[in-house]
Amino acid sequence: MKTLYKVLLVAIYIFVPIISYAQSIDDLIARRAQQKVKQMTNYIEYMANKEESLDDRKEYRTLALNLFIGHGEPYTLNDATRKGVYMQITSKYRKKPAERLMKDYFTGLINMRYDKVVIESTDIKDIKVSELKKVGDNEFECTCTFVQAFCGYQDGRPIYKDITKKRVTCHIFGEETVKVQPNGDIKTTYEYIVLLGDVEALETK
Amino acid sequence: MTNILSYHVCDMEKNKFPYMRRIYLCYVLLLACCTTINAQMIGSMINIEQERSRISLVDEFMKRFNGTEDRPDITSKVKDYEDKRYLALFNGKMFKSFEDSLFIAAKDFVNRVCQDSIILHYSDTTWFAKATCRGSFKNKEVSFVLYLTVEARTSDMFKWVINRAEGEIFRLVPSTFSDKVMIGPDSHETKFMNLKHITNGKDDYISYYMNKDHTVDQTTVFLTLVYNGLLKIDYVEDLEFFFYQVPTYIFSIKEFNRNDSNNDGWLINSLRKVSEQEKEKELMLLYQ
Repeated sequence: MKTLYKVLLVAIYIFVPIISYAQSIDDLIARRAQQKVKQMTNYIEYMANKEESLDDRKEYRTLALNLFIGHGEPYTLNDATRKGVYMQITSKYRKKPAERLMKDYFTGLINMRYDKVVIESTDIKDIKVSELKKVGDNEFECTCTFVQAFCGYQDGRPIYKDITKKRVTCHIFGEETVKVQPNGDIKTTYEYIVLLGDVEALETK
Repeated sequence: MTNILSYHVCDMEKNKFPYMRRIYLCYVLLLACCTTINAQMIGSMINIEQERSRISLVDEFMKRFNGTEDRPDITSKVKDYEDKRYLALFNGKMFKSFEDSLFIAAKDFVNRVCQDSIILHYSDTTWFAKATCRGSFKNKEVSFVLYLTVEARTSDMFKWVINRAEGEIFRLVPSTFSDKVMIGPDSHETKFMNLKHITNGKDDYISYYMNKDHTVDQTTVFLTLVYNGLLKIDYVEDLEFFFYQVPTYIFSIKEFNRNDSNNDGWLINSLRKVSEQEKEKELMLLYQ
């Protein structure tokens, strides 16, 4: 019930600003990408939150994976097959990045050995979006940036903290929808679906 | 906070309720305390001011260069806005003082950009990426450079393409020097039956068998190795973007990741004054 309530809240949080802020298709897509990214960061916060039950946290993992292209499983994009979406972490102290499949990264978040974990993310208004790049008929690509701060507690004391700057590729697919107007006219519009792709993380201790 | 506090204290004195004043002071102090603790607990981990100033995307660098987006603390209301706007795009650590020759060069560059009203576009053919890659070749870790440019697919669609590859492994240099490794002068009489020794012997002697003017095209070697599954790219170790749009200048940007500085993200890290002919030659090398 608690989970459903949160999901409902997140849904309201997504759609209300979209309607009021969207001024053009590009803006609409950019807003939608921001919302998707915020939704992901919210799920990450819930997944890591030890105050939630394990079952709930697993459910957030599923919900979070659904935001990604291929739902975290192998997928095909631009005629190329990929093993799944990746989380790539580079540190300013270590040039070689660590890379994990998103589904494994999320499992790791659920099973962290801290008593308490606090994750804080950028507000939706501070998520930056790159210019929309067209990749096909009603297909676009852009990148969103956000920051995530992590604090792990043991025996009530913070023992690990990091701040990570992240960039995520957003794949946008326009789907044609046909609406019959009250006067009988048929109007074709596009519904834009945003699916998240690989995430690049730049760690700052 | 101080103003609010003093205003209410004066008000209380007028009313001549000293005990009320004390209670009120305690309340205000408690409120201030709670606000501070709350800020430390919740909003303190992410430095949002820095994030807003940071140039997090290459697109964002272009917007700030073109003046379609401002750094929050450098708006048109600021004195010497144009100079400050452009200079904020540089890695500040490049300059040691205002007299530093690099700083003077940067100011000259800014003047040139303003004078010619230079605008950067994603679709320009006068910028490219230099990606230093780490990979593996025959189970050995190798490093090489790929140069990439933006190529139009249609009038409104683009993609990144590899223009050139450079690296020690693509030069095909023989492991030892010899001036005797060759195809013998009378080999034609035996229908070149000894050609098989080229590939049965030491593989890396191959260039000794070529004509003396032959140069190895490193990009083709890169393609061949990848095509045959012999070279794997593991990750991009370093990335720089070079811009040739400003007359007589070439500059490059690189991403910085700093903890507490507004001078962060994609910043100009090198600036060179070069003749237009020289620039053209360099770009030709990339596109040929």
